[in-house]
Amino acid sequence: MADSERTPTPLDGGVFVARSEIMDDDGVRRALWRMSHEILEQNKGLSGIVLVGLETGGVHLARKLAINLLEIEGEDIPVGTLDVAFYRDDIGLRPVTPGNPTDLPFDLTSRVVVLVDDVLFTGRTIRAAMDAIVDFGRPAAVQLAVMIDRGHRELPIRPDYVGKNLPTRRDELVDVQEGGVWLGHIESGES
Amino acid sequence: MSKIVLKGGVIVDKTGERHADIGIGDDGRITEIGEGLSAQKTIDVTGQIVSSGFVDLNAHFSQPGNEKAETFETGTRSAVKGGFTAVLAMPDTGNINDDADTARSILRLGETALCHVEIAGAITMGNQGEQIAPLSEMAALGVRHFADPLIAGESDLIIRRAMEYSQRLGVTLHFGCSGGGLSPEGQMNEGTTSSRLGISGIPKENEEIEVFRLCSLAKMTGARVHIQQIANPQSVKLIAEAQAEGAKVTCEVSPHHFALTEVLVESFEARYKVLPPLMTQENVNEMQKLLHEGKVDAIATGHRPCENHLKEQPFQEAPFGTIGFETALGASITYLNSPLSAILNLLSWRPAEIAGLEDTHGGEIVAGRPGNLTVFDPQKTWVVNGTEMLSKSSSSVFEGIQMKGLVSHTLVDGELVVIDGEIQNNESKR
Amino acid sequence: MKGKHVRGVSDLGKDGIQEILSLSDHFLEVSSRRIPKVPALRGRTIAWLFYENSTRTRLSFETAAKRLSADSMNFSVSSSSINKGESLRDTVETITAMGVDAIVVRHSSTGVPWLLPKWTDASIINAGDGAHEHPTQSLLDCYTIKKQLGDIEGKKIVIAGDIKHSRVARSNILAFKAMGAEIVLVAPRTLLPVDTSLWPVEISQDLDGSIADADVLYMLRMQLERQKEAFVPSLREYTNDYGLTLERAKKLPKHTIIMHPGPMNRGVEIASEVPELDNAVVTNQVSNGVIVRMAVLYFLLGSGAELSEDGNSNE
Repeated sequence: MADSERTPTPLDGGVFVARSEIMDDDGVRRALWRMSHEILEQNKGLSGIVLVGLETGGVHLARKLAINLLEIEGEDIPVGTLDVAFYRDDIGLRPVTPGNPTDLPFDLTSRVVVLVDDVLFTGRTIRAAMDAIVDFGRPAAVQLAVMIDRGHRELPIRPDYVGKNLPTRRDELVDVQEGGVWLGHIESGES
Repeated sequence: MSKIVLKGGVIVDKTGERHADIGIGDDGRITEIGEGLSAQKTIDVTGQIVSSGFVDLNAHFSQPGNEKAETFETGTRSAVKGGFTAVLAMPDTGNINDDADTARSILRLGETALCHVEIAGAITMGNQGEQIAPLSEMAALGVRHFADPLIAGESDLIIRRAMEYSQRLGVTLHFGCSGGGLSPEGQMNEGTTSSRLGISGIPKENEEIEVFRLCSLAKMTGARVHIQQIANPQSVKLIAEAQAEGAKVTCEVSPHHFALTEVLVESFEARYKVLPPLMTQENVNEMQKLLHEGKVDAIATGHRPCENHLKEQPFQEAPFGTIGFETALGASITYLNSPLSAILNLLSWRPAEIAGLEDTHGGEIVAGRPGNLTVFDPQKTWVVNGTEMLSKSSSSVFEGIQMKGLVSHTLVDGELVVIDGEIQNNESKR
Repeated sequence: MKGKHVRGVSDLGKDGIQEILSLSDHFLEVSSRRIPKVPALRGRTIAWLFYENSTRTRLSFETAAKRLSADSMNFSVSSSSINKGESLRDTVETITAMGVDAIVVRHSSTGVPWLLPKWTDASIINAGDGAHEHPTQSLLDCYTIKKQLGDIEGKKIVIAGDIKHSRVARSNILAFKAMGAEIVLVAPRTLLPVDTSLWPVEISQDLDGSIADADVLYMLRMQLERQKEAFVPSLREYTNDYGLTLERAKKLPKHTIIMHPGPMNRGVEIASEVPELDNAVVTNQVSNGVIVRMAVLYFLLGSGAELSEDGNSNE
C-alpha cells in the first residue's frame, strides 16, 4: 500500500509508535508460505503467472513469494515492481512523492498478474494499480495478494490471498516489516 | 495690512535662519516680516520652515502631443504640492518645441499651470541633432532656455555651432548626457547586476565622455551651458574643473541618483527604469558627498510621466522615466546629511539663478519680494505612494519608501495654492 | 525545496533540482513504455505563452503535458493568438479567466516570469526570459550529465561561446554550481558579461587548454548577427579560436561528453561532423528535455508542492 494511504501523514515528519505486535517474524514467514501454496492451487500451477509488487510495501513481499514459488515448483517466475503515484485519485490534494520507478520489463498481455501489497485498506491504491496495469498490456486476469486486510473499503475491491484479516480503527496504522507486523499510530513530530 | 500671514515659523534664506511671522499683501508681494503679525487669513506654521519656493530646472509635461500622460495643469498640481513655485518645461512634449509657433502655443498652454512655467525650446530641430532650431525667433517670444536631452548622437560640430550661435542671445543651453554612445540598447547601469540579469547596460563612462565633450566645447565657445541629470560622480569632478577654468557650466542631479541603487532593478519592475539609470551604492555614496561639499549646482527632478499601463510592461519594453515633484524635498532631507540651507540652495536659490528667475524666485525673503514661498515640516515622516500623487502618472522610483520632510503649504505670487497638502483651486496662475 | 513556480534556478535551489532529477527517472520509465502516458495531470490545463518563436521548446513542453494527460492552450506569437497591441497584463488576465493551472512563458524581456504572479494565481514556468534564465534547459542538462557520467559533483564543465547573451549559460552556471561542479567559461572578452567578478567560475580565453581535462564540453550557439555587431571580427576567426572543430573534438579525453542546447549553427561553433560523434549527446538532451519537463510539470501540479503545510487528507 502506498505510504500515504496508511494514515494522514503529518508533513512535519511524524513517528510511528507501535502499540501491539500482530505477527512476529515467524508469523509473516508462515503466512507467506501458505499464500504461495494458495497461488499455486488457485492457478493450477505457475504457467503464465507474473508477480507485481507495489511500491513500496509490496516489493519485498513479491520477491519473497517468488523465492517460495521457486522452491516449491522449481520454476522461476517474472517479478516486477509498480509505482502507482501517477495513477492516484488524490494527486494535487496531498503531497505525493513517488518511490522507485516502475520496473516491468515484460509484456503483461495474456498473463495472470498477481498484484502484491503489504496492507489493503480503502482499495484506492489497488484501483490505481489496475489502471496502471492496463497501460502495460491486456492481462488474462489480475489477482491480489496482501499481507494484511484491515477493512474500511471505499471501493469494490477484494483480495484473493490474505496473510491475516485485521479489524482496525480508521486512525490506526498498520506497519508491515520483515520482522513482523505492528499496529499503532502516528505521533506528530511537534513537541 | 497683510492679506495672509504665516505665523510662528522659521524663515530660512541665504542670510540665515530667524523665527518670524511673514505677511503677504494683495499685490502678491511680501508686506512685512516681524513678530505678532495678523491678517484676514492666518496660517499657523509653528515648527515648520518657511523658504523661497523650489525651482525645478528639468520637468517634462506631455502637452501638446501626449496629454494622456500629463498636462500643464496636472503636472503643476503635483509640482506645487511638492513645493515648486517655478518649473522649466522641457521641449520634448510629444510635439517637439522647435519653432516659434509651437513655442507660442505652449506659452499659452502654460497659462493653465498652477505655478510659473518657464518654457525651454529645442536646441536642434526635433531634438535630432542635425539642424539648429530657430533660437532667435523663439528667444524673441521670451524663451531663454533651450534643451537637447539626448546628445550622444549629435556631432561635436553641431554642438559647437549651437553654442556659438546662442551666445549673443543671452540664453542657456541645457544638455542631457544619456543614451546612445557606448551602449545603444542599454536599459540599466552596466555592471554586476546587469551582467547577472543579462540586461544590456549603459557604462558610466558614457556620461563622462559626453560631459567632457560639453565642458570642452563650453570652454571653447564661452556659451552658457547647463548639464542635466548627472549620475556619475566623475562627471561632477570634470564640471568642477571646467568651472575653475572659467567655463560657464552648471549642473544638476536628480534625487534618485543620490538615494537609490540598481539593486532595485532585480524586482524587474519598470518603475525603476530611468535614464540616467540607477547606479551602484558606491556611486550614490560619492554623489551624496559631492552634494554635501557644494560641488553640484542644483537638484532637479527630471519629472517624466507616462501612461500607467506602459509601466506595467516588461522591463525592456517599458518607457524610461519617473515622476519626481512630490518626492524631491523628502529625498533631499532623508538622504543628504546636509544642513537645511544647503538643501534649499540646491532646491531653490541656485536653480532660480540658473533659470534666470532670481528676481521673482529664490533669493532673500524680504519685504517687497514676490510671495513665492514654500512651507514644510522637515521632521514629518511619510511613505511614498505613487497612486496618491497628483501627477497623472503613478510611477515613482521611490514607491514604498519612507521619507522625512513634507511640504504643507505653497504660495505662488502671494496666493495660497496648497494648504495642508491640499490644492486650493483650479484657477490658473501665471 | 517546494514551491509554486519554476522561474529560475534560483526558485529551486539544490534540493529542488535533486527532486526534479529524481522524478525524471520515473518519467524516463514512463516514456519508455508502449503507451508512454499516465493520468497524473488529467483535468489540469497548461497555457503556452510564447512571445518568442520557439517551436522545439514548445513542442517539448506540449509532449510532456500530453504524456501527463494534461490539457493545453496555445497563446503563441506564431499562432497569432497574441493580439498585437494587447498588453501582457490583459493577455495574462484573459488566460487566467479561462482557467489555467500553469503558464509556460517565453519572452525576450528579462523578468517577465516574475511579473506574471501579479495578474494570475497559476504556477509559472519560465521557458526563457531575455538573456536571464532558462531553468528547464538547465535541468535537462543536469539530467543528461547525470545519466552519462553518473554524477555532477566534482566534474569539470567547460561552457564555451557567447556567454554574454546566453540565458542558458546563466542558468547552467547556477545549476551546475549548486550540484557541485567546477565551471570554466571560455569566450572572447567581447562575449563575456562585463562583470563576472562574483561569479563562481573560472574565465579563460584558451579553449584548447581548458578542454584538455574537461568532463563536459558545453557549446553555446553563436548568432550570425554578432559579427555585424562588432563582437567578433569574423565568424571564421571565431570558429578558429573558439569553435569545436573536428580536430579539437578528436583531441578530447575519451570520457568527455559534448553538449549543445540547440539549435546548432553547424560550421560555426560546432563542426558539421561533431554532433554525430559517439561522445556527443545532443539528441539525448532533446529526449531528456521531454522527460525533465514532465518532471517539472508534475513537480508543480501533482506532487503537492503548491500545498501549504496543512495539506493533509484522509484516505
